[in-house]
Amino acid sequence: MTQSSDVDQVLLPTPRVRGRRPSVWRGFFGNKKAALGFGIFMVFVLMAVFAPVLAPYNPQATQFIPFQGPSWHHWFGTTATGQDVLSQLIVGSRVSLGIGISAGIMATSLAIVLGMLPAYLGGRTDTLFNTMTNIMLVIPGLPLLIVITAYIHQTETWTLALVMGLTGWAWGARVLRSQTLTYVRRDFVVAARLAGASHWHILIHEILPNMLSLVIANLMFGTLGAVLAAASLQFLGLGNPNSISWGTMLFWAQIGQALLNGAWWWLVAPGAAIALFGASMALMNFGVDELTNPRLRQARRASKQFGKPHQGRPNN
Amino acid sequence: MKYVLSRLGFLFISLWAAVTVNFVLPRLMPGNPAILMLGRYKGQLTAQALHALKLQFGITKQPLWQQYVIYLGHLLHGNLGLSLTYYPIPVGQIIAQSLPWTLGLVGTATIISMVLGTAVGVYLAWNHGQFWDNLLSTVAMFTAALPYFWLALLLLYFLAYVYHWFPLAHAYSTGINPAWSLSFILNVLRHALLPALTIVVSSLGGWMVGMRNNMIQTLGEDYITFAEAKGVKKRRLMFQYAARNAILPSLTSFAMSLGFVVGGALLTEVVFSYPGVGYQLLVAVQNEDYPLMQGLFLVIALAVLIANFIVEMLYGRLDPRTRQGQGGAYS
Amino acid sequence: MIEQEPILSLKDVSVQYDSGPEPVTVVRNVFLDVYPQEILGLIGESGSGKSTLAYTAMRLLKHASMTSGSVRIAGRDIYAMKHEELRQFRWAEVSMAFQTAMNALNPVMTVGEQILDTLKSHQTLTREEGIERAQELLQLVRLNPDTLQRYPHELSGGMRQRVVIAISIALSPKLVIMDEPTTGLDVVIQRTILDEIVEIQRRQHFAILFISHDFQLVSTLAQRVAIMYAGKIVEVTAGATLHDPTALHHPYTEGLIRAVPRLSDDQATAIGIPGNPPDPRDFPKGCAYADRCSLVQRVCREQPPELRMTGSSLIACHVVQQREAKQYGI
Repeated sequence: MTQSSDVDQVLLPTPRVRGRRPSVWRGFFGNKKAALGFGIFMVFVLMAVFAPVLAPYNPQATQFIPFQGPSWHHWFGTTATGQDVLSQLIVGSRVSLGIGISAGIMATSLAIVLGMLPAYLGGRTDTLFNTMTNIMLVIPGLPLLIVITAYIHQTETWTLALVMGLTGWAWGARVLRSQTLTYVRRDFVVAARLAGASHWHILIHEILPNMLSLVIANLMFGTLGAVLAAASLQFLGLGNPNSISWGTMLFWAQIGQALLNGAWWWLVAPGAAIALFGASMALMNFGVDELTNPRLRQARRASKQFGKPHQGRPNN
Repeated sequence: MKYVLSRLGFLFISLWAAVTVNFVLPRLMPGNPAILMLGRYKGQLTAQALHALKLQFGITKQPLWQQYVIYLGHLLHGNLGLSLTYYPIPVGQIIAQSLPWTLGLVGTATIISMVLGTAVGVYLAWNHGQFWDNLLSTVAMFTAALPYFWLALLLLYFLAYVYHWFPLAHAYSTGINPAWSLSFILNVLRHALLPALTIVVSSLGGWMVGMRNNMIQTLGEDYITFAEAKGVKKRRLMFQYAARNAILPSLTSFAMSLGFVVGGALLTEVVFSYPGVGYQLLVAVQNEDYPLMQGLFLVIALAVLIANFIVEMLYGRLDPRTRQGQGGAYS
Repeated sequence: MIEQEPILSLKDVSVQYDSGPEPVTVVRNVFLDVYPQEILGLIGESGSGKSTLAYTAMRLLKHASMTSGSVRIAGRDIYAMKHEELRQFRWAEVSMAFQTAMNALNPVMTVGEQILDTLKSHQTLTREEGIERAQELLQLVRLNPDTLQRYPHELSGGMRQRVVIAISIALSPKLVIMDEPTTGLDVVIQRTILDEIVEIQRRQHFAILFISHDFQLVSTLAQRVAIMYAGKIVEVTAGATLHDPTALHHPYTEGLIRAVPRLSDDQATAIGIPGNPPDPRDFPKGCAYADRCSLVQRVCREQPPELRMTGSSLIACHVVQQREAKQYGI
């Protein structure tokens, strides 16, 4: 009785049609931080793709006067052996971005499988995988990578990417798992299961699309982490020092005592490239965060446009 | 109590995992890398040491499980083998010498960074969307992406090499003898300042943005509005109601960040030639001193796992829901 | 009763939300008075703006702003107050029991601390006095005094709701706004809590603004009932008229009455109201209910109706107002 006198229920004989949400992409580019991050990211991608055309000199050629400061001919100066830093930076973006992005994709794919599937299946499988994920999370990643690459000895680029992909999935798996758990009992998933849809169908078509923003965030964090870790390993001389990447540039700069010779440009250029690329990932991720979590962005409008003293935030 | 036991259980399981990874890795690599290492050091080792090393790295005909049992037995007795770089000094002794430096530097810097970042995050969330929030949360995007060692190099160059404000390297001046005297302690502090600054600057942003986002989330909760309505004063509302709840997910993410922070901090040691475990790890790697490398990895993992456990205990104290064994950090 | 000063007086209140891509007005020119010691029911479906109205009356709006009108509590304009003044004034004169008791309590503080916080924020009293008062309050809502040491997660939904009610009456306010205080509880507990609320209200003589979407519940509980549709008050009437078949009502109210199933019928039949409320971003020029109304005429689409004394109620409907006028030959 009491239920049927509920105003909401008697008033909804026809289904309510919700307006489609504004396109995610429009929202993404409407967000200043995300757009800036995407802009920087695209500059790097284009740089990597067109590296051979863009690089002014052969990055390996040792034909210039060593330790030249930035000039019109050498925007970012030259190295101890007379190589052009800008050319190395441009060509090096291929390996650095390649490792970062492929390790990011690999780690994210693993995170999707190892995070979602056990959570969906539940029971002991879930307990087991969850424990495994948590262990992987707490074991310090960079020292582990150092140990592994030290055994491998002068790790080739793709091995490096592989190792980082295989060790970098835990964070994502954990986040995706907890999100999956909240979906498993939802009506649309239960309905799909009752309708006889297969597990894979449900996971891929019903649950995954709802977690797209998490997957994207994970991809960006994974890539950022991999770029930083790869640079660290290469800086320590654990990569292949003969390949050209931002990390090996830093390695050679350190070996060539760039700072003691006052050649700050040799160090600043690759480091700044890593930081800038990483920042583009972080900015895009921040944008996605603001998009998917309305609370993070709400106050802004209110305080800007309708800034009466009593709105916006509590008691102040 | 149930919570404490389950966290303790997890501590041991993860510890066992780290120990096992250490055992398995060299045996898993194609063409056991230890063979190469032994080739290099053969002439300098006693027959007994050589035999021990062969056993330690699986160059033996003994079945794997026997090797594993022996390995675990040695660990339980604190026997990590002999370092090859510093032969015949035991690995344990090198760790004992370098660990205090790392705990002092990385530990202190991490705690400072966490406390400071969290406090600033609370402030930014409270003033969400205003000048400092917009500025600092954007700046944090960039500092979070800075490679630690690169920042360390730049600070070293500008503040120590060009301007001579700080010493260039090491934990204390080479001329003086370690002693519990004021001048020595001041000397140590002066040497630690720049590496600590590096660690704080590069990790601060992460703690700050994390706390800020959690806090904004919490400020939208009904219990905040309810507390505001019932007249709770600003300061109490901000800390006891909002920050007190917002810090819980921050502590949970501690586990995720700590490994990362420590990894970066270890590289900072390398740049400053700071005689901690990170610096020794590099020495071990460069000299292919696998016993030392294994021991250092274990002790780093152990330190991180214990730090993590302490934070979980703190979480248990702060969140009444864990005291019943329901909910909590890892449910 | 009408001669008295209202304890809460809303005049021409409009509220818009600012968080979306464009501002959306959800409360439109609402006039509403609540008098001392009465229970005024406010009925509306989700999205009708009734909760927003409650938050406006408490000056607790977030991401929304009052674009016109004034709110007076005990004769004072609360939107003219400074923050500290408001903080002291608010809970002492008017308090609010939140809709989601589940989330209205701080999960990391004991019930006792949360009650004490309320008292200490407004009065100077020792800890012992505070605890004594808190225990009295708990007894009033029929909770064991040892609930003081419990955390919210250790309590059932009904117990939590009782704690929230205890906090809302802690300072003996003149008005308690109750925003769906029993939503999410099972029917039996709902009934018990409502009975308790009425009993406490009789003893402590505060007024209640009772917000609900449960038509039947409000019509039996409240002395006066205001009905809200699409951000507007369409009718204010005595609770008894809702059970009087001869009384005049707004067509929307009629729809709600018809929608309540009757036990006396052979079969419990309820008739819904076809259609949906208008989109607040595309609000009609005339009457907001026109699209769903069976009595609709041309004037309804051209001019918004205003609340007028019609029969024994205030009704905002052109058609009903005309019929009434004809009947009495005015």
